[in-house]
Amino acid sequence: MKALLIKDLLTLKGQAKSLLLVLAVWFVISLINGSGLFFTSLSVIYGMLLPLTTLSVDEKSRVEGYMMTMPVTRAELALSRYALGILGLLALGVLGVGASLVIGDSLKEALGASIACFCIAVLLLGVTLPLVYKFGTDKARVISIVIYMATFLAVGFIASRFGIELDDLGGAFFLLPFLSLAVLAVSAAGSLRIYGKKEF
Amino acid sequence: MNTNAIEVRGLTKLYGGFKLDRVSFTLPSGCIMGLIGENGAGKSTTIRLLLGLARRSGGEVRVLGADPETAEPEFREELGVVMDECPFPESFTCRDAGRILAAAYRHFEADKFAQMCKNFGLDNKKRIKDYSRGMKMKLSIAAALSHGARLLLLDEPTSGLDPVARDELLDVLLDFIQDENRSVLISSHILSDLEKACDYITFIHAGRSVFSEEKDALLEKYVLAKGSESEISALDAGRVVGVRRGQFGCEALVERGAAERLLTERAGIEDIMLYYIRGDAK
Repeated sequence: MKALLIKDLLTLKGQAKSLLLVLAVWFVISLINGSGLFFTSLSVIYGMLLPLTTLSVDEKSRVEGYMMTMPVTRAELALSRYALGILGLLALGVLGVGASLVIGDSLKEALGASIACFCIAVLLLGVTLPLVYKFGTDKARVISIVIYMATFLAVGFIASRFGIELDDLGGAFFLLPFLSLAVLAVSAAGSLRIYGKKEF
Repeated sequence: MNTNAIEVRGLTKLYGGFKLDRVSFTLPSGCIMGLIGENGAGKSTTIRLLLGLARRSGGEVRVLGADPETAEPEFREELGVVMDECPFPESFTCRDAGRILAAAYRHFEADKFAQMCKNFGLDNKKRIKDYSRGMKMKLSIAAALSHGARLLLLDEPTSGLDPVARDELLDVLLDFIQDENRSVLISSHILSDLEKACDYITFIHAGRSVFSEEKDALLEKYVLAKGSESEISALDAGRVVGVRRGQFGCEALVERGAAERLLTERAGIEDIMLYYIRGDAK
């Protein structure tokens, strides 16, 4: 697992400058708006894209097959992107809390926003990774967008059909971490299955 | 200790329209085997199956005594692999490659890797995207040789290399094989290279193993016979591998002793392969 994470971090190293630049721009925009939510939400969603970025590079270089000639298991290969994604999300989540506090948000607001964004990003990561493993980055990108759009439309339709206001769902946000965890567990199980059968 | 580095019996793999069909060969420890055949014959598929990267449809495989599909990952500590393309991302430097290898292999020798990169003229700061094909291949070879591997599996390592780089690679392999516990399986369609370095030759054609023999025995077994159409036609068909008809006569690959009255000359590995593939009907 360590070798796989090092490979991914070295792959991302080349993009560190652009990441820092994007974060700086978002921070300035948040500072002008006076709310850390903009910075936290965008940076955490960006964190979700980190494993997808390394996967895209891996596909191009065929490094996966090479890593499988090393003392590395298929399960480690499948789960390393989850580990990278969660580590990235944690780091950016903490950064989001720090930035929000600097901007002037309360600790409660900063923590709440960061945890909610983290859970949503984990949920999206859980949906996307098995799709990428199964269909490759290009096809999976399209499928993911269709799934996200369909989910938002369905939620919007159900809310309007039954007259549910978003504010009414405040209590339901406590369920978000559990939902994310459940999706992550199902997703990881699916990914292990896909990699168990994969040919390199 | 197992005396064979690789044992393959009836190896079969079905892929869409391609079939690797009951390939068999044995590579004894301490030897170099050349896997030859045209592009698409099944050489890379065979190597991928030996590494457990793909799952076989049938047959038996033992690599260093283990089944690569079910062996614990530690078994790959003893394998050094060179793929047909440089597997590291293009943004990497050879130092980055060393970091991954150090994390992956228990017995990675960082100093040896650095020294090999230096000897091969690989710039530590240069990115792989700026390497020539030869430099990329040298990086792959340095990676394969720097963690105490007992068996090297090389898939087309010489293609795209200039003659000097190919010669350097063969020297590295011959040096590696000085320890009799080490073995090499190398696939290539540049047969002059294999003729120089290999102890055994396995020839795969259209997914089937045509032969797997000791190189010296193979070179001793066949000769090229030259003569007229009628002289070649008069040869014992059972001892003729193939015939090529030209403007000024015929040439046939025959078993040694089968054409004693005709002019004969030494047949190289390339001749043997070409006559098996392209030689006309006997």
